[in-house]
Amino acid sequence: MTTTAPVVSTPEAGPPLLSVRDLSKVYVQRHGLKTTRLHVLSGVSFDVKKGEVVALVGESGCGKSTTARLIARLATPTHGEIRLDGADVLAERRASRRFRSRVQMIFQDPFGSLNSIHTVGYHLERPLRRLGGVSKEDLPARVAGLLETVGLTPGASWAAKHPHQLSGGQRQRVAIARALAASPDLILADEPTSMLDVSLRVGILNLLEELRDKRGIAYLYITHDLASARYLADRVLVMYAGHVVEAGPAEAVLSQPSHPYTRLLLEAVPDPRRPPGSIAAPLAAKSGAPQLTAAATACPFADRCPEVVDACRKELPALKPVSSDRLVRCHLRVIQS
Amino acid sequence: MTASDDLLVVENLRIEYLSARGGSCVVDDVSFRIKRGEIFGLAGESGSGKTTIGQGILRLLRPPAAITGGRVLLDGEDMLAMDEARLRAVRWRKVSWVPQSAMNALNPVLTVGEQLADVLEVHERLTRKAALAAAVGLLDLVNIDKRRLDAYPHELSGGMRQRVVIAMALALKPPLVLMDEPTTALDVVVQREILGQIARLQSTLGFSVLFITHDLSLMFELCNRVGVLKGGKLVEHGVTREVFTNPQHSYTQELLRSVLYA
Repeated sequence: MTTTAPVVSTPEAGPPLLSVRDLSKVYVQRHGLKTTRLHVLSGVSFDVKKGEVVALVGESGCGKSTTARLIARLATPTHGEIRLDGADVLAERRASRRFRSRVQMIFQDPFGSLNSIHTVGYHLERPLRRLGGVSKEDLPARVAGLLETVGLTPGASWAAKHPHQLSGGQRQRVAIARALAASPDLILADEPTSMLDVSLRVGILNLLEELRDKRGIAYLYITHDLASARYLADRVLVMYAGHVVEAGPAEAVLSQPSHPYTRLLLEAVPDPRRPPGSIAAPLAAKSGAPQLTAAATACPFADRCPEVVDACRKELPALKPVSSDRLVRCHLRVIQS
Repeated sequence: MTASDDLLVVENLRIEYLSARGGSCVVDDVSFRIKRGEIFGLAGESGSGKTTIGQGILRLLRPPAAITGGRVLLDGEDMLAMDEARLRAVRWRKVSWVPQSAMNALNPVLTVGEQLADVLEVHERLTRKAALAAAVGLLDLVNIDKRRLDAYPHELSGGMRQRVVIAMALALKPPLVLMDEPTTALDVVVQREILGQIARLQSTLGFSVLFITHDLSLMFELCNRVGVLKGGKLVEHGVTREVFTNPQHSYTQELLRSVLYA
């Protein structure tokens, strides 16, 4: 196996459930004769173990959702390898039924992901029958059981409702139940709480954690919310401009961030413990969208970085270990350590 | 009697959705005051009535929603007793509004400069030339390069569009600005930048803000005083530090327990 970047994984042995190597995606846009290439994702490698929660964090456009979409085979990678239990997922032209039952997705918008003309029950029956192999007679009991698993009790009465009768948090629970219907090993959760009220977020995160503990489900948790990543994830990968810039145990990365971008993200997170008005203090780095139009020949964060040095503009730093379980893509960190 | 510190006084405000079967009360007996030069935060979950209160203060509610009780005094003058002509004179000049999803509040077929200049032309009776010159100053206020004057909204990022709308709300230097979830759709870094800018503008220009949000962390970091809404009722309000360190109502305590820390 050829890998260009060190793999982000936990030190313990055991075959990874999901293994992603050098995953890249280039979108080609044509405006008449002019063609631009958008390097949306560049050489991302990581593993997810059974029952593990790996968070991908970063701002919009960093490639975190693209990573999930490529793994779910909603888009085709330009380059790279995706393996599920060691088997090459991309070898098949389309996602097999077996693959779709093992890898499920939860989307950000619970108002868009449920079909308003169908009942809650219908949404769960289809994956139960097609992917779970449940017989017609067993359907009502299984549907009710799933709804009760996600906290919608009694399940039978929730199954008869239509999406418009549900709140955002309840809809997201239905979306989670639908993902569970296929008995997946891996759930790709793309910002599952960002459209919910703050008070409901913890409930959904707790539900995801409970499902992990009871069923051994692994998650790729995609979010821009560092607080929720710290709450839920075992490991975290910080992404910027399609590159992983920092990776390691969630607690360590978020309590002692190394990469300047991770520091910026943490500094920007609102914190009610800070004194009122402290928000007026300017951030160390500016906001701004990275250039994705050329394959990176410099550090993509250089233009915004408060610690930038000459080397940053000359060469893309490699993702290198700075301790036994931490990787950082930064010229400065490597020089220092 | 008007020589008080209170710029906005909301007293026993009641807003109902009226129907043939009777009213359903969405804002129930809400009272709070906003002092001159302070940022007052109003937090609550969706459906708690926070946006409705903002719209009620500005008299922007449409049937079947109606104000059925209470008083709203802006600088001592009763908003609820104003006729349409007086309301037109007061809105924007004395109190302005940054709407929810302000990113989409701009007119897509006019340039940013035209939209800013329109406000100044109509309300300040400036000539087109003077209005455009003043528009440059407004963009400068929110740190947007003057070359962006000729840009259309779709050419700007979400955060820039948001800042244009904030500049627009400040165009007539109103003493009170109502902001309804002004940064909800933005990335954390952009959100933080814009809120920092609001806080800095507020302290130099001295206007007051009613800041409506569902995000408690944000509210506590930005506001001098805060209120918590639940089901149309203001269950608690007070000085930010006190509410944060010693919440009295069980609902506030529950909300604070659900805050995650990065």
